[in-house]
Amino acid sequence: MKWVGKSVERKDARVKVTGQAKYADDLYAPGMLYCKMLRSPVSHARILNIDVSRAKALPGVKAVVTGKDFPGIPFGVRPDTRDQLSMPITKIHHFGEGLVAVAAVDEDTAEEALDLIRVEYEELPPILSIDDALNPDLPPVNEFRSTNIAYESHFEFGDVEQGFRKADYIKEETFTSQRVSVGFIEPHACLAQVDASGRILLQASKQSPYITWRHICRALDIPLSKLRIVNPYVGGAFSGKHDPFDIDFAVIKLAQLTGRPVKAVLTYDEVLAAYRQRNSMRVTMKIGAKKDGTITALEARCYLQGGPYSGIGPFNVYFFGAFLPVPYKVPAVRYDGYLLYSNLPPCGTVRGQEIVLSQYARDVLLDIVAADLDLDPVEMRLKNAVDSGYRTVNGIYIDVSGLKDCIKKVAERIGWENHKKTKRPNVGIGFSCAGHPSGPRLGGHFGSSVVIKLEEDGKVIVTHGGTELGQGVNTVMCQIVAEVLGIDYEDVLPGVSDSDTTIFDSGMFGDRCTFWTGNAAIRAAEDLKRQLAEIVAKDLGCSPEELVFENRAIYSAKNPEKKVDFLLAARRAYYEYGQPLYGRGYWAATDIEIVDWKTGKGNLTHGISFIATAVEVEVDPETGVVRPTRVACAKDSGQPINPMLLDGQVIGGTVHALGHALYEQVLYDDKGRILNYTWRDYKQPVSMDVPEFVVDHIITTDPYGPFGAKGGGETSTCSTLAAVVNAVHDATGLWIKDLPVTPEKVLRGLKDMKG
Amino acid sequence: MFIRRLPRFTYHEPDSVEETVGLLAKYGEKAKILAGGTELLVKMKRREVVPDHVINLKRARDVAEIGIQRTEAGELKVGALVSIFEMERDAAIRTSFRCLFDAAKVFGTPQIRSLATIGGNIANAAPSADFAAPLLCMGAFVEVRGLDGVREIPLDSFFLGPEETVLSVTDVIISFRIPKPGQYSSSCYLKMMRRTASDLAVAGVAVYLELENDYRRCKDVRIALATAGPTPLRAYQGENRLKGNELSDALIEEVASAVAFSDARPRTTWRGSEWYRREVIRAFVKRALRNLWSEIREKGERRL
Repeated sequence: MKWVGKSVERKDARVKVTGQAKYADDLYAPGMLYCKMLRSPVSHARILNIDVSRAKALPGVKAVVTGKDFPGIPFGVRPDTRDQLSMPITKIHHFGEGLVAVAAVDEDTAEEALDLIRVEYEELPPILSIDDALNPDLPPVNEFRSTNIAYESHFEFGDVEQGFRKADYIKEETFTSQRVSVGFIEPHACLAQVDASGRILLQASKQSPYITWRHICRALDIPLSKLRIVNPYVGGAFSGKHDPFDIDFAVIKLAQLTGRPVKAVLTYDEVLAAYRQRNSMRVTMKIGAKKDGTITALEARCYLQGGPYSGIGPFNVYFFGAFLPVPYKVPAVRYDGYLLYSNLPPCGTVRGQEIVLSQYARDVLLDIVAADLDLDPVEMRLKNAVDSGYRTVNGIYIDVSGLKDCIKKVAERIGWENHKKTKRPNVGIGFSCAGHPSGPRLGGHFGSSVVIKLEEDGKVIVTHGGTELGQGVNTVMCQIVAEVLGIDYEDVLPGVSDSDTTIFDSGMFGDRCTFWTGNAAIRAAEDLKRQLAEIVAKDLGCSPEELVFENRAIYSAKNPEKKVDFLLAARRAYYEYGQPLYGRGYWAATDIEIVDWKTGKGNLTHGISFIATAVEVEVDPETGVVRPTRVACAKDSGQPINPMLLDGQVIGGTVHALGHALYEQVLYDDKGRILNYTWRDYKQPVSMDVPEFVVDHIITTDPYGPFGAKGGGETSTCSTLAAVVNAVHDATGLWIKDLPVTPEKVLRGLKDMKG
Repeated sequence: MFIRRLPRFTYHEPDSVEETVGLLAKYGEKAKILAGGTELLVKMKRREVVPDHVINLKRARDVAEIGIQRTEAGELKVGALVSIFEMERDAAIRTSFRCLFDAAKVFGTPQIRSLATIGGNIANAAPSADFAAPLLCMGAFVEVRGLDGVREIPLDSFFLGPEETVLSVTDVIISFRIPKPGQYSSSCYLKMMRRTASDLAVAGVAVYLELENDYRRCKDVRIALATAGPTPLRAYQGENRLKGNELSDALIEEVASAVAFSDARPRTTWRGSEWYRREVIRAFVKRALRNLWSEIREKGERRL
């Protein structure tokens, strides 16, 4: 293959590194107003009155809106979880929640106006913990619900009782994980314009413009055609930019009221204090195993603490349970999963979704078992790893698995055998594995589509429904199209993501793009090929079926002399036949069932991708500091389309999760006020914290993936947490079961161990 | 609560320290001095400080031109407006005033280091100030100009409380004087951070150690701590156990415990518990003394 499997330069590399790429904050519209929001200083209260009269009277202020200016229609991911309003009306749900939005001629005036607003409220006891949420005597957080259990799922697959009876050894442990922020670079930003017909144009930093589009139209009670969404460059999303936010609703309403464009750009402390985070978690997990390490059963009761709105939380609950028996052969699984409301900031999820958390707890538990049974953790994983052609107990079919090769590769790269022999003091190595879907099938619109426009100069423009978030999907789509059309990568240009011309994918999550949109891109390119072949065949005097597209030319397979340049073919289409050509393609996994989130039944996805991760750490026994020194990842993403971009995803995802494992934690006081909402105080890893990396690709061929590719971006995040915890155990003998692994916890543990 | 754009203020750019002092005398509490601005501007954006007048010191030539000077007597003079970046790049600091180099290296981020000044770091008087402990352990003096002219204040009597110093509203820090280090001496600064860069000190330890020519007996020692009390502070009890005695592993343990449990007065906050800060201080005092001892010895042996 000429372009697939090549590390070509990103399509957006030059505009991004030279600062020319226009992000939402760079947008400017003539006559534009600036929006700022007044935010709540408390986490839970009844709103008694909001007086905006003085703010409205301030010269330069053009409009002020509160929740009452919206139709009061809640939106949500599922019909049974529509529990969020555009802006709050009766209640304050969390610290930093936007209560009032002001549009003014400049930001200074808008901020000045905020000081003139008076909000009267009556504080309510905040729901801040899992136990608070389970206490029926405490008030409900969400006004559309009477309980603080937002959602629950209960799975039972295989004979769990028998599984535990067969076990030689049973272990139960409780693991917790903290609330973390999402961690993209670009803060939320949006610009709304409304024309005289009332049609709205929203240009915003959005990960899943389709989800934003649907939710906004529902909450504003307008048909979809009334809203056009155009995505500018997006500075990272990691699942933090699916939903519409208060600022999106506010700029639209303010633009409607004033007839002028309105822009809002958040400061990063607003993002850290009041926007999407990852659920905190408490899970009690029980495993049964034979003496040789074979897993016989797994049971988990998991509480995910969300914020005041469900968001995509129900899917998080499902994902946690669904991936308990992936990527190991587990004959029986029982799972009880709960999503809980709280008065802490709303949760979406973060890279890898809650698969991250289930793989963490299970892979640490696996090491605990290995240690107790005196088994090698690498051997234990090899013994249980899934093979190709395996159906998990909950019905997920694994077409191709390179997992065992991944495990062997990282053990070799990190020097496991040598490490076991020459045990260095305070140095440890830990392993973890993970599996991840390549885009799940969900209810509602779930297809991916691509349109390719052929230009007169022989170039093509690829417009697709995925979203370029920085992950490189535009580059990958261009590589795929170049491969199919037999033209050069430089001949293929990415188009603009615009709801008027692009049928958006249903959402940009779950490693969906390469697999789903990639398949649609192949079909669109084939459609264009078919049309061109018909035109060219007439001229060459052969049948369209025998034409080959290669090296910017089209020729007959039977008689290669019969040949025409791709450019000339394009010109003939336009100039001879008046036929501007478009290739269209869509792809959807219609052969897999829609999963029942409540029971976990159904085959969720094709193309389960795999990873094995080995992390080496050094532990300072005097301070408890854990420093990751080396990481080896081996990834089965089928056939990588762009190995360089895949390396970037694997390394980026691992470092992202190192932050979760070691540094990051959203902290709040007993009133639910966030304490560390600046980049100085919220500890994401910085470049200096990044260890040495080796990434290997175990190349397999997925029968459904484009050119055999599977997803790859999110799996590495899922296998990092447990590897760190297991490495700390290897170095010190300590099991840290509550994340993050802080120096203080390690030092305390070491002192306790010494007695 | 959340960061905002800067509030309104009147901006001044005096040419000299004298003029600066005059402006301070005129506006008193309503004025703030701007040096690097990495603390002041953030505080203003958070509305924690809302001065009516901001006086930019950077145009005051008689302080801006001081830079980093090494006197013939071997003392170091550092102008208040010297940036952390300049400290990091200075050869004399790197070789002979090592703890200041250590502090520069772990200070904020490169972007902040190029703006932030040493004068600002000390005037701000945060208990976690990265240059306070190193300057304290070097026995530094602060040169201050006020209404009554220039005076020199030993740094160990400079801090009064969190963000509180002996300076009056009309005082301006001009420079720091750091005495010449002894012949068989070295210094270092160890900072505990939650990540490798861009972080505040959970706790910090600066040590200046000077030995006799036997490389064993402690001729002089100064130990100073960051984030170990309401101000950056000297650890006199630990120092006194060491001064005049022969270094040994046992004595180092004893000194470290004295510093951690008698001198240090840390609090429990979300950045770290009192228990953990004391443990870190103990570990760092041990590490600093051991490292300095072997460094001085090796340097001496090379000289022979």
